[in-house]
Amino acid sequence: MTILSVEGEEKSGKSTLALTAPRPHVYFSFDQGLERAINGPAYERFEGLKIVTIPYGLATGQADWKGADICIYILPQPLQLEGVLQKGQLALWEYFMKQLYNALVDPSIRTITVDTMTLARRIKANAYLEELQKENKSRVRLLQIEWGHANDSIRNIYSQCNAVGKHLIAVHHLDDEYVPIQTPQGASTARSGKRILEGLKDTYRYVDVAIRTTEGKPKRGSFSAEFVVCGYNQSLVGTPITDTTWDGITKRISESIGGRISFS
Amino acid sequence: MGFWTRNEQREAEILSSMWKSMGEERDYNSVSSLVYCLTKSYYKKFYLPQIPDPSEPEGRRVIMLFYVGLALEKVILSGEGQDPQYLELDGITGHSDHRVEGSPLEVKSTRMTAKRPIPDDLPEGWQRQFLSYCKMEGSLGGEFLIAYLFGDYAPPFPDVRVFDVKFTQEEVDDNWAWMLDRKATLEDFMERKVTPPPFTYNFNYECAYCEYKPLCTIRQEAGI
Repeated sequence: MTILSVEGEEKSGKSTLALTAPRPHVYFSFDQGLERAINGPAYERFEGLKIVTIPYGLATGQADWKGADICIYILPQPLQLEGVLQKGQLALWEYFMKQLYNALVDPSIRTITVDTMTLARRIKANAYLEELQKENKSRVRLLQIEWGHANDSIRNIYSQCNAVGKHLIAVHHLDDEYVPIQTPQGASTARSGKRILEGLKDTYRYVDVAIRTTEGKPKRGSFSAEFVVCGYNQSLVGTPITDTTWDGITKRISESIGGRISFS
Repeated sequence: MGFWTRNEQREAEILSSMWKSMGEERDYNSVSSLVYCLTKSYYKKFYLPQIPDPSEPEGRRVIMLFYVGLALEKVILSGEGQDPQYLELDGITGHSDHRVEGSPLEVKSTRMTAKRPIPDDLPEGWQRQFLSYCKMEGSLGGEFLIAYLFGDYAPPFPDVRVFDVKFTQEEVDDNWAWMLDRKATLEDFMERKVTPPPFTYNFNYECAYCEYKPLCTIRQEAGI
């Protein structure tokens, strides 16, 4: 059982990598682009697999993935048509939690993916804001401390997947890093130029392995990755990964520690 | 002095062996399964045996606490009293840790301070377990031994207290009625193949260190 974080820029192969994890696989898709991942340049990886896609609102439970290799739940972000008032976020979060619970308690499921955990956290935060707005419509955003609710929910997901022995893949977007600076007007922040994982601040504490995917190295259309975190072998951090599949990554880790751990 | 390298892989192997050697299957209708959280009992039976992962801090904690309790019980009671008798009454199974002159002797180890007044601060689960064993043994009391791992948190630390306990027939019977109700409740959920709701059939203090708490939290957020 392994918890893997996959981070990267848009269209850098994150979802394609996540889809190669051990099956049966339940995949929660908050982001777009899954069609591209399955039928794009790496399509041969998924040929012959039974992949079912469940549109939002049509989940029926564990029967959804019976006989399937990969079951994808589409979880589109609700359109916000009422200004700052959140709507539909709570329903989306509850729906996601229901299907996640079903996957967690089914011993046949080997992998759960949340694509992206960045968006999942944001949706939970918006869901909490929606609850607060029911009492007070003047609330337009959460206070910093109120993000704790979203953070706790995300931590729960990591904890529970860990506890039931399922692989979890948490896909993350990247964001600009801001660092404190001093200006003539006083203290401020500025971009450092670094791109960092967008999500729970201490994500790396909860994962066994974190990798960053890249497109365009060495040339456009090619995909690569490198280890950002590797709890199994720290010496792999910063080293490149040429085979950006689950098997490729786990084989690399396993070989580096003399084959002592199996990732099946 | 030599060169010392921590071997975490070997630690996990030893902890796993310890867990396997200590493992005791508790069926849904055992006293401890019915006294404590019914939702947890249901998860354990139908979904997730939840074997602690010795490579994780939480898993290590569960295994070591269990081991300390079991080891203490064996050492404290070696040469004392009679071996426990496995009993069944009204479809509920169980056994006290030991017996003294036909009455149950229950042993608990704890990190709570020995300063806490007994029975006022005795965990409700312990009381109900002991009452249940009294009912099953046909006794109105027995001995209750508490091994305080940290004593009253002042040196020299570990300490033990033994209490002679006497219940009234009404207390024993009231508790038994509560147990039968718990059994009926759990069986009803099992028959309907419905998981008991989270945070409902438990003592409040149970959730703090429960390995299923994230799952119950997920269910609560899902509204199921």
